[in-house]
Amino acid sequence: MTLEDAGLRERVVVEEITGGRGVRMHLNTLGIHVGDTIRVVERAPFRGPVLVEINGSRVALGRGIARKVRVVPDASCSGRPAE
Amino acid sequence: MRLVLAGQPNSGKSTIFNAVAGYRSATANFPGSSVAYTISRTMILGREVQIVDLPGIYSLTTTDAAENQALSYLLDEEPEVIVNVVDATRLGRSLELTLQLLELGRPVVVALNMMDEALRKGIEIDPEILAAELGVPVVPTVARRGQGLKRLFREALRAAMTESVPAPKRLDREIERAVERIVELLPPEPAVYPVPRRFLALKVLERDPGITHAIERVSPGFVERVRPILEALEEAHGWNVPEVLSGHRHAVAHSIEDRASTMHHARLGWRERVDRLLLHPLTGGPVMLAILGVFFYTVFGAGKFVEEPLVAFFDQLSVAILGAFPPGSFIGTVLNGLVLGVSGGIAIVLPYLLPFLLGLAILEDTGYLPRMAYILDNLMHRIGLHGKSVLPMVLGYGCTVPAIMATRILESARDRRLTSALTVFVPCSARSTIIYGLVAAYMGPWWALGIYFLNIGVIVVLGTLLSRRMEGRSPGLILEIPDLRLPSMKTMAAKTWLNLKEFIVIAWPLLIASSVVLGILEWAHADHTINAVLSPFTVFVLGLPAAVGVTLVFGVLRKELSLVMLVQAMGTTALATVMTAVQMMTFTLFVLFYVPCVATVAALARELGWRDTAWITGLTVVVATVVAVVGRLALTLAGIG
Ligand SMILES: Nc1nc2c(ncn2[C@@H]2O[C@H](COP(=O)(O)OP(=O)(O)OP(=O)(O)O)[C@@H](O)[C@H]2O)c(=O)[nH]1
Ligand SMILES: [Mg+2]
Repeated sequence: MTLEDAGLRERVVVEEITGGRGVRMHLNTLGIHVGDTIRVVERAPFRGPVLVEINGSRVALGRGIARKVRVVPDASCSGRPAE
Repeated sequence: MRLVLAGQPNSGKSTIFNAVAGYRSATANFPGSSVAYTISRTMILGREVQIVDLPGIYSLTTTDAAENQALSYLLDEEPEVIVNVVDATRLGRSLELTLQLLELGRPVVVALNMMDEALRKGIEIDPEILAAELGVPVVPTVARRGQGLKRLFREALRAAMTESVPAPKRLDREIERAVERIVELLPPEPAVYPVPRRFLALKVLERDPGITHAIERVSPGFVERVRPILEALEEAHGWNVPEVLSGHRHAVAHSIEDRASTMHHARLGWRERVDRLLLHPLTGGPVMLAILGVFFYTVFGAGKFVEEPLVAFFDQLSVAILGAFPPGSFIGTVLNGLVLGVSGGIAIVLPYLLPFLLGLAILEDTGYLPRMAYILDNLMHRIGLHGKSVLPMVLGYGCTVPAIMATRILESARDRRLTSALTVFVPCSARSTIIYGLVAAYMGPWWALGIYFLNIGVIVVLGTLLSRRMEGRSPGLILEIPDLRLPSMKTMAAKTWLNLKEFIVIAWPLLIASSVVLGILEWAHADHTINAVLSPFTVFVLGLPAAVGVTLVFGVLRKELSLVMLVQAMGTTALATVMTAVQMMTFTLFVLFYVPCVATVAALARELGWRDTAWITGLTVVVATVVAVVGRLALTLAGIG
């Protein structure tokens, strides 16, 4: 599943970031890495961007970007996953 | 001594800078409010210090042009001390940058800013533990209220004087070994940049294209020699090296955060509730329209309230002056031009400009702009851009020059070109005063609102057409949405004043001078010549009175001139008696779109080069003519005026 299809308010863990170096680095610098837990907070209508929460800060990701973030549901649901 | 403020976007660097340098660097609640560095000389604790406010950077790996500015400053300029401004509410992420700054081999002091926000969010940070972990002084601050700044600068000066260079944090063993091996392969001193060799080696590991190329130039074959090192590391981790590094720093930063901070229960307040409303799929759009509607009506209402009595007063003054001198005398016309120039600034422009700038400052400081980018991302995709372009375009309603500079926050050159081209069509506050002062005042606010919508429609059409012609695709929206914040009266006043000063110092004198020049032209009957030359266009194509010709020429200098000089050229402030509604509308539509002012042309040329500037300027004339003619025909057919 990608971030695009993650359920609203669901906690998910980043599994892989596909796409070019630019996008990966950009997401990294905003605090989104493989292994991080993130939560989809809001989803704009008409295929607009998704708003995700990561470590207390909020980032808007366009659908095209969200599609590049592969995620799995968070199994532990508590604390930060092991790096 | 040089002190540079570096840190992640929106952490409060410019606020700290302004606290010591006076309000000079624009602050706003969105990432990327500074796109160029600002330098100021001040006395701090009895020492002369050159203080530099850099654009925000998320890391020392750049993703856009504004970040590049900051990075090249840090690499080239050898500042005596780096003050790393950290947003305490985003400690973990901010420390990833701090770890990189520690690599630069310069004294570093951390300003742990936004402590008030952290408290509200239930985040308790122990500065002592943080300082021990990082090996540099850490000073808690609340920049907006000036708290802790004195101590911050004292620590910074001490660090600079004692040249206490921090030891970089060690990373994982394999990375360290790779770093050591690359350091040995680096060309001998002097290296490419005045930075430690360890830092260069890390950048090579990150596959930083700029630095790698620079080294390859000095030492050909370098890339080939380091390739096996990178490949071995990749093999061991199964990831590509830049991500290994970034992931590793992430882990180190968060373990420091865990040790230095404690989470208490956060109090949810009005911000979270308001934010839900602003961003909710159902309410977000309507609330945005409502906010902009209130903005529009408040500016119009406030402006009209002040404008009318002022105009009446200056009209009497003008009549008195003209009456005191024989008709057609040189001194009388010149004096009258002078009065019209002065009064145009005070009575016609300022009443609308002031509330407009104040309103824009509120939008910027509350943090609403990035939310607009989120809501409008979708629409922007239709015109080949993404949501971030909303920021420069909305800033364009204030002044086109900073708006064009703000396109530096965009990641790709294509997006910067396209956004700059479209931003030129956004009516700046000067052009808005024409919409308010002419259309809204004489024809009613609904007409004025209609013009804004028409303008957006034209921009959408242009964007759609232009983006088809430009190669490449927009990379997609990645934008941090900062917390909502109540704007502080002090910064709002300072910021509005900064923008207003630009009008008072540059535009107004130009306005007065131009009015006097027009007075002289009228006295010498030279205005008739200019008007006659332009009349095939103004009278035949646009159906306007011939007298508007000169105002269009002057309008290229400053957009406010068109309106003020219209009054002068037509010889009355009661414009409704000499122009029909259709003519006012046609005039406004043309002025709205045609040739940007000289300052904008210069800014365009600086950011995009002369070729782009030339076609964009040409395009404005075409669009202005088409829109004005179509508007004229449509209104005439509809039987208005
Ligand atoms: N609550 C609170 N707000 C602050 C503090 N310091 C700054 N701000 C606000 O935070 C916002 C961002 O401040 P800026 O000074 O523009 O941040 P910057 O680091 O220069 O941002 P960029 O230029 O975008 O990198 C503004 O709205 C400030 O008023 C603080 O200590 N507490
Ligand atoms: Mg700034």
